[in-house]
Amino acid sequence: MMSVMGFFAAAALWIGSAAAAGVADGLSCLDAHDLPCAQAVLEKQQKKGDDSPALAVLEGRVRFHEGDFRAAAVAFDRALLSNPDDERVTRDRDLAIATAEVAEGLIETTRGDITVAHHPGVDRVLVDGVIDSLSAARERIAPLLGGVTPVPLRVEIYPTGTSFVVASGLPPEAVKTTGVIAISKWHRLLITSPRALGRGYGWQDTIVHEWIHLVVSWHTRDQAPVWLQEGIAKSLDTLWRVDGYALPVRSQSALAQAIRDDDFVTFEEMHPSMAFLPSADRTALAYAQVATMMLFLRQEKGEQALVDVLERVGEGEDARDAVAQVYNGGDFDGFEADWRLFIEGLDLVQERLASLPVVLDGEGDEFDNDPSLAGREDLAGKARLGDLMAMRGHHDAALKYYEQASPEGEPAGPVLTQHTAEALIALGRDREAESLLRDNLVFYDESAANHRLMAELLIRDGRKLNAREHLLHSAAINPYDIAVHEALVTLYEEAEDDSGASRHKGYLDILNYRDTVAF
Amino acid sequence: MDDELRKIAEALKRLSSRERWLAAVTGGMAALTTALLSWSLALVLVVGRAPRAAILAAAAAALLIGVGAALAWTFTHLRATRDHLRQARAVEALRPELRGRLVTAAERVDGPRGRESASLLALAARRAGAVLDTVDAATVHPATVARRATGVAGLALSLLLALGIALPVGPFDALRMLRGEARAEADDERAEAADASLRETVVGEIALRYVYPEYTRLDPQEILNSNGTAHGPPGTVVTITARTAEVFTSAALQLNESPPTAAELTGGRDLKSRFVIEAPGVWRFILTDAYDAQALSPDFEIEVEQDLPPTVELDVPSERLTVPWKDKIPISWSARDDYGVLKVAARIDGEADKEVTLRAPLDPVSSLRGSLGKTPADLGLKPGDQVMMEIVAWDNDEYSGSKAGKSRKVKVVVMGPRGEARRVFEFRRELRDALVDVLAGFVTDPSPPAQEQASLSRWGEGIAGRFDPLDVLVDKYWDAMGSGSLESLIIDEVRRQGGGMLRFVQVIADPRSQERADARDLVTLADMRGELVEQVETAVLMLDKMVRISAMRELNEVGRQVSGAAESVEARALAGALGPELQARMSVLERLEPKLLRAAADLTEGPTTALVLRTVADADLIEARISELAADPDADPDELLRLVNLLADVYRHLEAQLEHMQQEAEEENQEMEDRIQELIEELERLEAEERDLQQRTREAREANSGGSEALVNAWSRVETLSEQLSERTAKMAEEQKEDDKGFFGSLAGASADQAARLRRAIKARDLDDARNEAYRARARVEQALRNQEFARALDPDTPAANPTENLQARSEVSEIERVLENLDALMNSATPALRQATGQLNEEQDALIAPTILAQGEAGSISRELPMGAPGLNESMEGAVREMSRSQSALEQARAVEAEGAEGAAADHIRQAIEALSQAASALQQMEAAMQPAGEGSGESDGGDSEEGPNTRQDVEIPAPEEFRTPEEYRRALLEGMQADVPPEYRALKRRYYEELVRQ
Repeated sequence: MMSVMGFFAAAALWIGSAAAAGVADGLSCLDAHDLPCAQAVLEKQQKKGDDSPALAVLEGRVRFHEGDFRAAAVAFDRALLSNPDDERVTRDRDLAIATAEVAEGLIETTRGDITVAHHPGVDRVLVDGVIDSLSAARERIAPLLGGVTPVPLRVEIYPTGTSFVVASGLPPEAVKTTGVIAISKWHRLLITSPRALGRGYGWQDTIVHEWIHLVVSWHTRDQAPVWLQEGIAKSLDTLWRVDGYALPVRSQSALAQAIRDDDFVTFEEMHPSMAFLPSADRTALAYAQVATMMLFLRQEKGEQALVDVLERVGEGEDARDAVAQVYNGGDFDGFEADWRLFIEGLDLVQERLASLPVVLDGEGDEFDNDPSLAGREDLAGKARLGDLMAMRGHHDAALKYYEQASPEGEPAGPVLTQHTAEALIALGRDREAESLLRDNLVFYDESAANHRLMAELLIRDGRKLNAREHLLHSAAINPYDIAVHEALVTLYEEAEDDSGASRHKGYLDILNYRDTVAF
Repeated sequence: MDDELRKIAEALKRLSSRERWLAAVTGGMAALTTALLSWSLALVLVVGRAPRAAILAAAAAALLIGVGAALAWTFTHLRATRDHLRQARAVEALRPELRGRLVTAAERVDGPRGRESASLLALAARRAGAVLDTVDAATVHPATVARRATGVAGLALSLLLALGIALPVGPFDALRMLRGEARAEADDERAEAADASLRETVVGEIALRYVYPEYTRLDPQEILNSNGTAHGPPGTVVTITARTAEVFTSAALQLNESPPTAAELTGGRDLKSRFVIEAPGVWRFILTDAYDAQALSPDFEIEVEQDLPPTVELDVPSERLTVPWKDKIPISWSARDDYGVLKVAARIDGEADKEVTLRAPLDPVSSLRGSLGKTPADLGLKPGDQVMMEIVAWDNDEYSGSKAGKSRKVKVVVMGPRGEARRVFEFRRELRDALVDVLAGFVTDPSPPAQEQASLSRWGEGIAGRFDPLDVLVDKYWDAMGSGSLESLIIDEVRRQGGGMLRFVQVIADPRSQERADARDLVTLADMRGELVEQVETAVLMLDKMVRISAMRELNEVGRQVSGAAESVEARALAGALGPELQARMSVLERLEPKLLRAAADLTEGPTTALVLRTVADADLIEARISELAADPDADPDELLRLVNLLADVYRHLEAQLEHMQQEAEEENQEMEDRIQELIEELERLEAEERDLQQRTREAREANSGGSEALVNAWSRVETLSEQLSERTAKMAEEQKEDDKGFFGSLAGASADQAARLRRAIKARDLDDARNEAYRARARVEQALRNQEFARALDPDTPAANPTENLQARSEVSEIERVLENLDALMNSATPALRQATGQLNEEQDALIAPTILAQGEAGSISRELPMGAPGLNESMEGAVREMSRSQSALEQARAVEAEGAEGAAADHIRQAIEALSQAASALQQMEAAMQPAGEGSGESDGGDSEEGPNTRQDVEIPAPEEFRTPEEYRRALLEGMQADVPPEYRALKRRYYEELVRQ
């Protein structure tokens, strides 16, 4: 920050104090998460014929926020001509170039003021979902935050974890440790394609979550601390599709354990980003804490509560004070104590549930995707033995090993459950498989494979309506599974639901590369 | 005529006839005797080479005199017999009571003379007749003389026959010679034979001397009293010596019908000649006598012993050998010949110009053996070649020319580095799968498998077959499994444990018994099964890891190829290539995609497999779409280009991902190695500090000993006892193990193990532990005694350890227990100075515990993450922490001796942990080495001479003798080799090896 200021000081001396003040305003606009303001300053200065390095920096940043990475890199290069040693600008230039490289293969689809940059392959199947979820969020969530942003939305879906890491500027280690796969930054929503995870994930909720960050930043002039950001986003990110907030099972588990151990994540630990917390479990607990705080606040003070808090923070008030003011007139400790009582009164799932690991780009083995097996080589070894048994047709023996692979005191992970269910099905024990899957989906709802397996069992049993729900859930997590869409088309057609059938046929066209619209 | 007279006349007539017959016989026999004697005389004279005329004269004279005399006597005697009165008088002489009546009657057989009274005559006749009736003719004329004459004739005949046998000339030969008929008869016989005109003569006392061809290296041989048949290999020189029955003046040897060659004749009868065996046939002598009459010896056979070509046998693990290009082909051969092997060569596809000489001994030997010792490259083969190989050996037949003998043909398939790696990979995968099958059975068996002995026995029979697939694999992949390799160790260990369990079941379960098996045996069986399962599980996971890492490498490689092919399509599309060309280029991709899928399948599930499957599925769809557009003349070329770009991008992405993953995997391995190394260093530091602490505890104790001498002495005493016990039980276990490698052998080791544990506890000065271990040791010793009795009950012949030793061991344990009790009493006294010193040391111990606990955590983590684990690591670290805590506790109570022991034990445990870690690191490196693709970094194009391959399965070979310039050099090399030192376990092998060489 100091070097930037130094740069501007030098620039001011060089091009005159008036021009420098304009550029500084533009940069301030960006700092305040106000892209239209920065764009206006830039345009104004350019019209004045300003070709100063400072303006080049502003232009680079504005273009970078807009998603024009090549133009940004050119502008930064121009700024560096006169001050080649400026580290900050050099970093900005390098990031712009790297982002340009990873984004080069992406194509853009724009509907209304929403632009989605995505891989031209099967990621096209995501576009409808992005538009739908953001549109719904604008309609249902934005009023809770004080309205939408006046900025067109740009969503970038990176096809691999590697490209996401590059484009996000996050350290790879942090991504690996905390499992961050999406970020709201530079007025853009950057997410990793669900395809990069193999098992998929709740990518629509994630997009909405990041969009909420963007809206909160707008309303607070980017002054909301991370805990507030995450608390609001987490407590609202499902409301685009459901009416009430339901605390995720894993959050319940994390909170229950924290209550038992009296070990909560402090606000200081959450700064500057949840992404820097030491483990995925710790991150999950932090999310659960702040989400339930915002839930509690909204529950206690009504739907205007968050709007008021954001307004106060936007005016420069400390976030904790703002929350306290809205809640009880200024006693944050009281708020916290009440919140503690609130969560202790919740009927929380007590089982210890680990977070679903984030395994990107086909790395690791299958058990790295399973929270009960990841990092537990002894159990993973037993599970692997079970798989090998199943592979050789020894399903009885496989079940023995899967049993040995199950952790004590916590539910089996989704992958282990899936394999166990498959072995049971192979032995003709469908009922047991169904029961196992049903129980496990309570804890690990984000397992597309288990939803699909459950649907298959239900279809075999003639319970097609239930099966459709599971298939839709599976498709929402992992939209690339052709078989799932085919099954959905069949079920919709059987139910004479042309709209549903047509939608999934469209996805099938994309997945089968028969849809040329995007080209 | 009166009847009485007539009867007397007839009776006298009969007597007369008898006398006449006897005379004739006697005369005849006398004549015969004379003739025979004459004949004998002639024979003797013939043999005595008397002139024929003289012989004839002598024989004739003797014959005439003798026969004449005999006839004269006979006629005279016959005439006299006609007189009846002679007969009557002979009877009267015998029967004086006749008082002339018979003579009277015989004189008047026609009636009374003149006036003699007829009645008186009749009366006399009657009385004479009555007596005559009682007279036996044999009494009147006994046959004594006739019998004697006959006997004499018999003697004469015997004499003749004896002479015939004894003399070289027979009686009839002599007669023929005397008759002068021999030549004529021989002429007749030769005429009948149509090809000869000579009579046959006797040749006897044949002796044959053989001198064999030099190349056979057989010593000359002489056969006395031969039947004349000559046999030997072609070129054999046969020298004959013989003796004729007759006297000849010259002799010749004839082979078949070839012209006779002169033979040596000495003394008219001794023959000598020689010939060379070349072909089968006969040999004979042609003899000429003094009368120029020629005679032939009988024909004698000539039999040729053919010198056969060498026989060549192979010892190969399979009739179809799949051999890596740079590995030696594992063929052992042996060539054997009647007389000598000149050369041995390997021949490819039966073509003489594709021969490589294997051996050409300086001196041909009758048998040679060796290994092929050549790589496919040495034989001019290249990867991918499939040839038929045979070993050809030539004999040293210099007489009729060297002949070649061939072995059976073996198919050799040559693998390149990739093929080899693939084969090793497949072996590991199949081994893993086979072990999974083995494991499945044991995992799903009920526990215990059965309660009744008969059922248990049946279960035991069933499990024997579970290991068979491993043998099948060994046969199939002999070439991919070097001795001492990880795979062979796995198979050996699994088979060993399985076999042990099987034998145990056989011991505890009688197949005819419906009784329940002993509950303790079932517990032991469960333990054994648990150990086997654990062993197989570790092996499966290790192999699985290796398979998956290899598959990842393969995947990475194929991913690069596919990406390159896709980029090539893209480049052509950008250059404006038309649809058909793009389709043709895409066919390359289509060929590579199955390889990609196969490699992904080898990874078996998992995100990477899913990634590849997704990518290939995408690519398939894109390719299908490209094909459609390429075939459609109205298609949008821009869309086609975009699809091609997309296709290339899909594979570029895959390549990048796979590359990244490979890199990550390698980094992880490196990281693991680094972690192990760091932990080892930390543990070494902790060990050193703990030992230092132990030393200072000892010094503090010694400086402030105040009465602790008794304690030290008691510990020393009990340590000595524990050492004695440990050695005794170890020795007993060893003996029992040698006698019984099965169950009892393993049980015998249990008491030795227990004694070792007791010894460790005492050495660690851990009184509580030592007392517990002593108690257990006593139980073990008691059990060992019971086992001995049980073993004897099962089989009285079972050798068992000496019961005296066990009894002695029991006595030692009792003494140990007693001393430990004393120690317990001595342990609670310390001086204030010692208390102060131990207090300070306690703080130091406390400072060491924390990092040890941290190291324990890291050790546990490493142990869990290693595919093969780190056996003993966790236990050692637990022991170290436990002993440090004990030391701490002892130091708090100023029990310096115990603290000192605990500190030593803690340091020992840390040392064990270091060793366990080192072994784990070594296993990790071995596993990584095993997973290195063949040929990696070995400079494949160099031809192999400089290659330093890790090929441990090739035998070390000493060059063949002919590869030395002189035999002396070879002998020197052998001597040097024999004198070289080798580990004891290889000495027998070395001796056998050099013996083989010397025999060659």
